[in-house]
Amino acid sequence: MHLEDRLSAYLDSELDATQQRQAEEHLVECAECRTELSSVAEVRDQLRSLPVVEVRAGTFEDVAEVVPLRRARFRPMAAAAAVAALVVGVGFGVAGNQSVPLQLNQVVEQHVARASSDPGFNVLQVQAVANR
Amino acid sequence: MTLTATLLLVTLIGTLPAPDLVDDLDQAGDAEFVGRQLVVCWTADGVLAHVTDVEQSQGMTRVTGRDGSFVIGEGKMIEQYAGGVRYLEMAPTSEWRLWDGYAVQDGNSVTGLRESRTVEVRQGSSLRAKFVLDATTAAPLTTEVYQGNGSLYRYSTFLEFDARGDDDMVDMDSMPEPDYRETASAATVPQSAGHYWAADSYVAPGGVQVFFTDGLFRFSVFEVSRKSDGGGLAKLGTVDIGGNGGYHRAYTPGAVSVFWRTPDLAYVLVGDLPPDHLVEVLADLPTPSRPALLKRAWRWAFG
Repeated sequence: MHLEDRLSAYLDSELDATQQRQAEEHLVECAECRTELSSVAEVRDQLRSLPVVEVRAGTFEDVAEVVPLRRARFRPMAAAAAVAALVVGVGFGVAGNQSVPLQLNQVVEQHVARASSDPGFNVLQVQAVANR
Repeated sequence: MTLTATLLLVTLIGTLPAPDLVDDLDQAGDAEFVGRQLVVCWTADGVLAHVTDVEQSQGMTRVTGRDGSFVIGEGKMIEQYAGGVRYLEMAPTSEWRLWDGYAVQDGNSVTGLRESRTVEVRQGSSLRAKFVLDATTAAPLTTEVYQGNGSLYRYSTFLEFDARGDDDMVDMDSMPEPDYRETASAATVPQSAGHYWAADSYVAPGGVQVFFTDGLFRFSVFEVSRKSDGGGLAKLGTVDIGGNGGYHRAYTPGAVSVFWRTPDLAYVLVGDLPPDHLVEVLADLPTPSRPALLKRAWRWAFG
């Protein structure tokens, strides 16, 4: 099983000691994950190496002249919607990374049920469910 | 004209299964017996074996395992266990036929556990399967399945066999309503893989089942969410099959299960096909691959 999403956690040192050790052991054995690790690290490095642009003095004043700033007004409904969107977004993010369990028994049984429609030799098909 | 008619007749005869095999299959399905069956399978992960009690009556077959019993036949599967009954029924299915790449040959009479005779199925010049059929009931007393290189892959035989039926195998009056599986269509599974063809497809737990057969062996491909754990198969290490990595594979004496993921979906294959056929089949199905880095990063962040 590959590290996949755990690679980012590994790079961010967010794994606990056991997970960190398991990840390192896996990386020793798995060339595919080593390649991916270096790809992820490279992207991170490139992002971090982007140049810092010096902002000319007075830039924000210029923008303020083009788009006149209005005094912020507290909008309870908009604030509630933003909080709800954040909660839902975080919820989707967490749920999205969870694996969906599948019952292998049910999959095998459905295969055998269909296979039993073919003529004869049921006894050969049924072994697939009996011996799992 | 005569030549054309003759060629047409030869072609038609060539696509039909051997009449003897059709008769044998019909008779084997109607056979009534009680027995104890040994199944041995020589897999890439080692030799697996199992002994089960088997009964067949009224077109249905029952096997008794550790956790309960299974009764299957005619598109139905009834699991009876301590917690209750599970009753699955498939929508009507397509007609059975045998792949025209197989040749069926009647073999010799055998006197062993019972009076019997052999039927061999050849693929080209290679022996693919050999059945020892009970002379009276046509029940398969012994079955041998071979790999393309001629080595034995699966062997099953009755250690005990008694030609009698059990009239009370299942009390259908006390059965709950079946969990009925309607037909459905899969988005990414092709209509053929290797020399196997997709016979039917159905709604399945978490996705769609596509049932493939060549008349002799059968397998199903379940197209499911990429987030599926493959029924625990994802916890197994990956193996290379046919030069492609990323497959998770497990064997039982009677079947092989394979799980893999593509960038958008995941697949579970379950069937009794031999390993060289499995390689050919997987080559024609979506191959394991991982999403692009940015896609993974997006999924990592947002699911």
